[in-house]
Amino acid sequence: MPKLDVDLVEIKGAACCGFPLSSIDNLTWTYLTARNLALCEDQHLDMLPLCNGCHLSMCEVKHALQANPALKEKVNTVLASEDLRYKGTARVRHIIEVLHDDIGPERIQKAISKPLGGLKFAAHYGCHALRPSELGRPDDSRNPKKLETLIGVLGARWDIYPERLDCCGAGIAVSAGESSLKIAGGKLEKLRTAGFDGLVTTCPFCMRMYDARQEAIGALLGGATSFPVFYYTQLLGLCMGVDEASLGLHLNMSPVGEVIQKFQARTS
Amino acid sequence: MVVRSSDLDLNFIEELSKIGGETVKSCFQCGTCTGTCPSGRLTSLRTRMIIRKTILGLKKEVLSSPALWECMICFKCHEQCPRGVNIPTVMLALRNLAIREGVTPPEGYLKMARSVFEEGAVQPPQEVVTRDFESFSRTSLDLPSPSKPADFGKFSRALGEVGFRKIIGG
Repeated sequence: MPKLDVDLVEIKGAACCGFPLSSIDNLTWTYLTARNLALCEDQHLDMLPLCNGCHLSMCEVKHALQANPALKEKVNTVLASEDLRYKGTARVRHIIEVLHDDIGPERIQKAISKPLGGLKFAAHYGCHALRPSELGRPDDSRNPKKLETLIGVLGARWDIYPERLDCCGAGIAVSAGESSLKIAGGKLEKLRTAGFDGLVTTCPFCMRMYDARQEAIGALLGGATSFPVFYYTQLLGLCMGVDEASLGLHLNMSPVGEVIQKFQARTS
Repeated sequence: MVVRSSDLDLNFIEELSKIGGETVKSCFQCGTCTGTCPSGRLTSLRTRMIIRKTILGLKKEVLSSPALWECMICFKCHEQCPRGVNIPTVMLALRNLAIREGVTPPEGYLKMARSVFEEGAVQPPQEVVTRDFESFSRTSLDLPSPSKPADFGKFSRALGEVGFRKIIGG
């Protein structure tokens, strides 16, 4: 990202965004989210939550606190114990917005030295990057295009597919584990037979389902599910000439090696 | 199914409305939610039925239903609902009420809650074993420790103040 003039700074003192606790207690969720936003305000930062769930959490709570001054005051009374105050001024950006709207496809195209050639990828946005639409999500809830545009800029092919807007299943990973794996596995299997070289996402929770849980999916569905899954930023880095280790490609649990070999064969 | 008036809690829907579930009142039972639900294809979740029982006031039955925890909060039904019912928000409000009524949620939720209280995150950083069976930790990858609240005492006291400790029984 620094090569694209985006400075990334870690928020000092950050804790959980609170979203996983929204099922347990709404006020605790609101407090934890507002706390992270207040830290950003205090440190004069815009926020870039990498996870779709964290991003939605920030947007929902910002919206709720703006609509409900009494709730805002209640949260601020407690935040004062950590010398924090939520004002609502920190900007919250999604990685798709930063790449597509702030940096823009043209600058990305200029920054890449090794295009992806004829490889064909499927984009997975993830639920909370698209819905609920009334809260202003990074892209259109029914016909998003930004992630496909970003894939296209790297010189790769893409195509839309019927399961494109579907959930990764992570939302029920703790309550109905097998069903959540079946939901993720169903999509991977369709993509494999549809002739895609890989799946591309930006959300770490979706990544966990499709990449890290792939072995468990294979064990459950009685066959080796074998489909490469990448973060968009990993592909972007490859095209910009960043070395594989820095991109953490050895940490992807899905079989990404073959795609990388194809890429290297084309660009060397 | 027979519904007896003695099973109905006519205050249920008002109770739910107070914590953000008020849009449930607009439902006219078309069933679009159940039709769009990607979880319901595989789990016991029948969204329309939960909404119907909620409107009827079958509080005990709704709040003790395991299906309540099988919603993925994916907002697919919400986007399609012709009556503007914010179903995921209703589901979360129902879960909040269930916890207050003493229902034990799936263990994973309590585990995440305890971890946030103790570590500031739903789980501490873990080592990964790669597809080539190599182990890596944040230290071996030269990554800094993830940021944490500077003063943990103050952080957990604040969570206590918003009533969290009482809720998770810590």
